[in-house]
Amino acid sequence: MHNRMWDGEMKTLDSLDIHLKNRAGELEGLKAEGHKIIGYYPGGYVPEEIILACDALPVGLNRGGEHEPVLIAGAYLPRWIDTFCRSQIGLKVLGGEPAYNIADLFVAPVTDNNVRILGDAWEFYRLGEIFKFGVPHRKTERALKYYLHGINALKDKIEDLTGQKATEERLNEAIHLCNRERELFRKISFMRKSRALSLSGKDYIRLLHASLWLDKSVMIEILESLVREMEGMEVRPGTGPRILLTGSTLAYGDGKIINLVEEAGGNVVIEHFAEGLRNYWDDVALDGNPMNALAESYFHRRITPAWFRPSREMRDFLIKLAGEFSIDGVIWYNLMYRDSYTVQATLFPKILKDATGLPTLVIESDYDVEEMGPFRTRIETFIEIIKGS
Amino acid sequence: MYYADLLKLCGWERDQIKREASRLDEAFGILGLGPEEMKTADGRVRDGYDIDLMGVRKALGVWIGGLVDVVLSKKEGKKIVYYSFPPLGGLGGRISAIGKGEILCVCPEFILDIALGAIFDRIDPIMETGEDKALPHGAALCAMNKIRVGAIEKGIIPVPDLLLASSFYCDQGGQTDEWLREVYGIPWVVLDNVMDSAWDEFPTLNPERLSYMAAEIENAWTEAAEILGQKPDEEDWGEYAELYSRFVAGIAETNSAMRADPPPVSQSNLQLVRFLRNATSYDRFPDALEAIERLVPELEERVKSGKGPLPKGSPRVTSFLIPQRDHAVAHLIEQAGIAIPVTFLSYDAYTGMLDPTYATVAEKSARTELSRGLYHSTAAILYWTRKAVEDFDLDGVLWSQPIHCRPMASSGFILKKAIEEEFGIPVLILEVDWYDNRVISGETMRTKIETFGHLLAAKKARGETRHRS
Repeated sequence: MHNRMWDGEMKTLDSLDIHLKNRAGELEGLKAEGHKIIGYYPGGYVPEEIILACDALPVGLNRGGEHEPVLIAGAYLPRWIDTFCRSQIGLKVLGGEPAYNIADLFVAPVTDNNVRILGDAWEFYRLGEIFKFGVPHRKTERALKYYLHGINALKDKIEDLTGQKATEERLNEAIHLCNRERELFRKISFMRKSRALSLSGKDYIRLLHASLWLDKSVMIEILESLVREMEGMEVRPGTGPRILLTGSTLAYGDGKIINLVEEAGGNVVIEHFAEGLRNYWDDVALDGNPMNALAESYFHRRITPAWFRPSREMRDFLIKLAGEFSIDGVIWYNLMYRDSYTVQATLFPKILKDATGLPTLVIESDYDVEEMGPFRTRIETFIEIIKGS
Repeated sequence: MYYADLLKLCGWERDQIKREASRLDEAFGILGLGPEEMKTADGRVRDGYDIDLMGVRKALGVWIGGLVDVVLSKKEGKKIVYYSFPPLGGLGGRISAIGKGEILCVCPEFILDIALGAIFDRIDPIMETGEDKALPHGAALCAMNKIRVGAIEKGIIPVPDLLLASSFYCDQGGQTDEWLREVYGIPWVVLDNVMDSAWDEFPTLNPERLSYMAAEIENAWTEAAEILGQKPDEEDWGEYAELYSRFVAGIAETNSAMRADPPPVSQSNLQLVRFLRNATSYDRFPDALEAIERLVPELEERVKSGKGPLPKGSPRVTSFLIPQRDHAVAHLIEQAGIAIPVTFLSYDAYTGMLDPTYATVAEKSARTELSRGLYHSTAAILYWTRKAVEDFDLDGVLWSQPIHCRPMASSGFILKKAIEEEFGIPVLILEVDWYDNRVISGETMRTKIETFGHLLAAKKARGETRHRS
């Protein structure tokens, strides 16, 4: 059931459900026809354009939120690794998620300790073919060159796998396609700057997650259709506190925080996670060498995560978002043992408070069902405090 | 001088104590170390270390001296540079070399952990302050980072003029440096790299990664020199490098001695000496060198006479390192009859990989760091552990798996499966906190370690030997 913010039907979101339901079957069919499926670790550093230009199908592996895969992963990794990364091992071993079974190759951009260790485990336990490339932690020309070297190696790898050359023309076509998707995501997101809410945070996040799984052209049609519907609808003003939801990873299936916020009467109007805004905030340039343009956009202009040095750019960006989206409070949702975020969460609330006067609620999860009670209490209290202030 | 007996026990000469008396008074005053604390330290030194060895006693003395140096550095007008643990790229040594004693360039948490933690047992309040301010308790975060923040916050060590940060090996370390930078406005220099190797790459070193790291080391070095107002001078570095090479040669000799059966000393003592190279100031480095150069003949003498803390024929294992704060862990291992002739951090076989011809100091540093394996990959850690199993004729592996260290998190599980399958020898993963015994104390490991000792002894008695599949 979608959390509608207006009176009337929203047909596009119903069609999204159908596409999501049918996608596994579609991928199986395409695989049988000889198409290669490339699973990748989400986080904004794998250019889908390279995969598309090789006529392969990109699939972002971003399922999470359930406790069972975390428990299963305990046979392969110690507990002291980021919950989402442990989940990925569990999901692969359990074999119940089509996305994890169907991929011919898993691409892991090595970002922080957790992703590196996920890659180690994937490779050592032979969970499937993996390709790793490094993402440096500083925005320098030297680092950009290293990243470019990595994505060029990725291109070579996928070309070998598919037998299809990612020519400049094909890369530019893919960039054009992905830019269109980004443009639409921005458009819908920016509509949420208005006090009159046209789409719930839960639905927007579903769209983001769907974009990692569905065919690119289908996704663009869905977004275009949604924009038309939203523009034609009469919306009613949102009344609850406006929340910026941020943190390390918000997985497909990890809906507890957003559900609790909405149940408590809050509205998530903007979100910043590894697999969200980072992907759509900036377009890839279409003039010049496409690989250079991809490196420039995916690395140099990308909003930095907490493991970047310095990572202040991310915090400044969050403060900017808080202003632009008329935020009333920030929920910092962190997964256990994602250290950069854990440490940064000790500094961020004060920086935000000093800059904007806004409150922050920090919540840490290990995808455990027992968390729900305490989380509910904390979120309800947070929303109530904002309402009362 | 209420501290004179302790310092003598720790290898200080009477003259040195007299010469440094006013500094010692002041530093111990700041640290709150009075007669009671000296008594505690005396007991801990006698209980935790092999004080029959003057090399070990001297090393303890260097750690205490290093503590005094860092505490007083600001008052003594030094420029202060802190690098985080683990140290990278030989930068600490190079900065010490250009500063020639005017710059104090150390890893303060390492000095505090050993001097104030392992010797005086007075580190917990510092960690707690670090937890209150930046690194929350209960999130399996590293005590070293907590100590760095806590000691600065409590005013025990001065706010530095420069931070040397690593952005790639340890997320926590870099984030902690960034925290300090933001809260105190300290300039920093960041050294970056990536650990993106394929599983089967090592011991080959990927040239792009090597070049990237070398360029980062060179850049960090140039930036640091500029911030400190110093001119990079390869001649100064050459002098220091010569002393450093003597120290490294000493480590190699202690490793040779440890091949003996029985090994002549408990590994935790060697660790104390070996780590001096990572955390000692320029002024104290000659003392560190003296410690290891006194230790080597002492160990050789023991080898000749067949002496060691355990009987000949005791089962032999390797580990990553021995928790240094909590002496109980080393004691338990020895009481269980298990000898540790080598650890991952002591095993320096990588030096054989190093090409003696290199273009720059930075390239050499990058090559060394990557070849050691720790900053390369988990696969490289496994590679050197396999080598150690063969080179040191080991019967098992007792892997200290840190709960607080994300970079090392996967090593234990992977190593257990790989080593047991390849060699048919048992691997025990011991979940530990290397630096914080509030979380897991040595005594909680007694059952595991004792059982493992029985297992190793039984296998050895049955003549079940290592094989290579």
